[in-house]
Amino acid sequence: MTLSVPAPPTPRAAAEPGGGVHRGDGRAALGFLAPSTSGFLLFTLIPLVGSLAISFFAWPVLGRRRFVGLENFVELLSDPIFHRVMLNTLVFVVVYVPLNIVVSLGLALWISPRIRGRGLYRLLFFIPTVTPMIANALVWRLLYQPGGAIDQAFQAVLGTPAPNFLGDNRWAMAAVILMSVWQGFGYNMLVFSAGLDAIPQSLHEAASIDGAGPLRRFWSVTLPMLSPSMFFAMIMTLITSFQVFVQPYALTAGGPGVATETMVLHLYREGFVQFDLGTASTIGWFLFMIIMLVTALQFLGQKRWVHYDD
Amino acid sequence: MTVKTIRKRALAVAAAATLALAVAACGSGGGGGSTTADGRTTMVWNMWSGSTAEVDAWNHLSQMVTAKHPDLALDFQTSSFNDYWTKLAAQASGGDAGCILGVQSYRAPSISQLLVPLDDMLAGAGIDGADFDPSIWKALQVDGQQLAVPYDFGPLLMFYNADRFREAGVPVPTTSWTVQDFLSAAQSLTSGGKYGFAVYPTIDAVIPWSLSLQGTGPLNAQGELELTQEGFVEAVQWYADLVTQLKVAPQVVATNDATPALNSFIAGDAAMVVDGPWQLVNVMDQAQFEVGVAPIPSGDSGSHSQVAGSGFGISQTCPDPDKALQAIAVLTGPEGLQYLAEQGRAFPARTAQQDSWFSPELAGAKDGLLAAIENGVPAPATENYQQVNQLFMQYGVEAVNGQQSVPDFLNTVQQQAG
Repeated sequence: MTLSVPAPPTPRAAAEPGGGVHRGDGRAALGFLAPSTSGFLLFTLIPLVGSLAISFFAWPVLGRRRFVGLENFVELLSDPIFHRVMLNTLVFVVVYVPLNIVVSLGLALWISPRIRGRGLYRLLFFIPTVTPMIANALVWRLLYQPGGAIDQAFQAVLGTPAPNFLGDNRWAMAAVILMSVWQGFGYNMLVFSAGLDAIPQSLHEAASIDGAGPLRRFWSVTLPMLSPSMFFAMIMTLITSFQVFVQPYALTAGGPGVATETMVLHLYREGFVQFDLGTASTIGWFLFMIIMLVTALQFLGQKRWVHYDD
Repeated sequence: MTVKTIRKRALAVAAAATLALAVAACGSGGGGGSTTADGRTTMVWNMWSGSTAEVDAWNHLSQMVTAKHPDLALDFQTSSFNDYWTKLAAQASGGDAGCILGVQSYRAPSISQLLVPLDDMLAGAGIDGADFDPSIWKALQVDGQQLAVPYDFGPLLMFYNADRFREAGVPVPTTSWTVQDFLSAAQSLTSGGKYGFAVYPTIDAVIPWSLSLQGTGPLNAQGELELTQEGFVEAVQWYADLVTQLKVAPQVVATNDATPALNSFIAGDAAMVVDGPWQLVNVMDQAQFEVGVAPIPSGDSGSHSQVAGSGFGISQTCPDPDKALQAIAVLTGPEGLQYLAEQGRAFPARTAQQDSWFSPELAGAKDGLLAAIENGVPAPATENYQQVNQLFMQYGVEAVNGQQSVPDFLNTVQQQAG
């Protein structure tokens, strides 16, 4: 049996000063890993399993808990409001992610040549990303509201009032997405900017000598070389946009009606306004499954368009 | 075992112990109960507050408790009004609520399971219900049990911008003004981007109008939520018409701002708004104009408004309810409420201290407030009132802006919350 064949003797670690595996390294590794592992266990894995357990219960914050099996899942799937909430989340993702990528890539390309004040532009574009979202939302609320800056500009230029962006269900989601793009493009812009800086200038020069124009160089050199950065940006932006909460919460509180209510906002309301932790956990698990699925699909699809250097 | 190994193990044990301690600290933190050290009892007091001045006032009261009972100290923990209820529920589910809890009359039924019934203990602590305004004393009872001792109360009132009334040559509201007077004033004061009135689609803001115009509220005779009853639907329609038909109030926006209508009034964009006396000091501090106070204008059913207020109760997890009630007796005692009244913070639930609230600054509010109190009715409260309030606000935006019909809107909320 192959299993009983003794392993070839491994060279003694002491024979390799400065390298190799030492006896007792496992324990040291465990020691170093302990803080992050305990953090992961305490704040991620255990709550995750806990929330799965809670999703099988009718679990009011105050009062008696009752095992209901898959009832929460079935109820949510047949709830028209939850359908609307999932649709809202999907609309947000489908509109926000491409907009974010286009805007951040466009600006990264614009400041990528060694233009004067490049660092300043980077800083300016990055500021919204690090400004507290609540403060941003307050400013945008002042811009959007009837009688606000946008409304006044409409009155002055067109002579008609602007739509009631935050009070009209046809406009509210667009208003939330626009504010989110403004808030979020800076991070991806920095990622793209760093990616662009890493593309060797010689590639562009070689392509130029071969007669490639700027557009051709962009499609055939810049984009393929930037594809790992774009893949990273797409994955992260997709995950965070499925989890969007603060923008609709601070700007419209999910309204009017449920026009801007997203899955995480709905989860928060079910759990902490209506005190129904069972349903809230179930929503969390729906979201978790959707994000896992979408991320897995992206990893499967990356072979088609992401070019790594090796 | 070598010395090195022993040292390693000792280090590992120490690290594990530190981690365990840190986790334990995260878990217990503020704590529901009280801790005794050197014979002194410290109790967590959970309460909402909206400004630093308010926090200072509560801390002052906390010192009054220690002055009277040197063996008793309160650990004041606070958050904004909306966050307070979220935090309370989260803490309570972990058995970790404070000893003394702020209780609002609207929300008393929804947290009644958390609170200790006080009826048998009140006399021992020297608290006599007869010293308090009967409407708020009763509003803090659930199923006939007293769950909290009130400190403030008040009916919703009409605040008006007296300067704008004078500039427009419109007579200022009196205690006997009518809905017709209100409408004609609102129309006269709407011009040039400014409005006569600011609405916000909360159920609390609609109820004074439904009581005064139709003599009905959102609950039926059995005390159940019935938003679709005829009188209430008509009142909400009238309220929405102020925006869509009469255009005396601006369109509303969906927002998580708790008081957008009041902010619009303070900014001078709307000449009238409905809110509670607890806001008056803040409004007077911020407004750049003379603020007047009047009762809700009288309609076919008179001038009525719901009376709501707040008090302090004791959580079920409190290890020493008697000591907690001693503290509450000071917080809601004559000196405590006298202090809050003089600060203009709370219109006192104790009748004997009410005059102190009308300090020179708030003297103008006296006639309006007393008239409103006289005709006040107990506020409606159901176990899920918070949910009703949230749904009403959420879907009401579309109804008030004319994007959804009022009956459809009320049906939606009734179906989800009824």
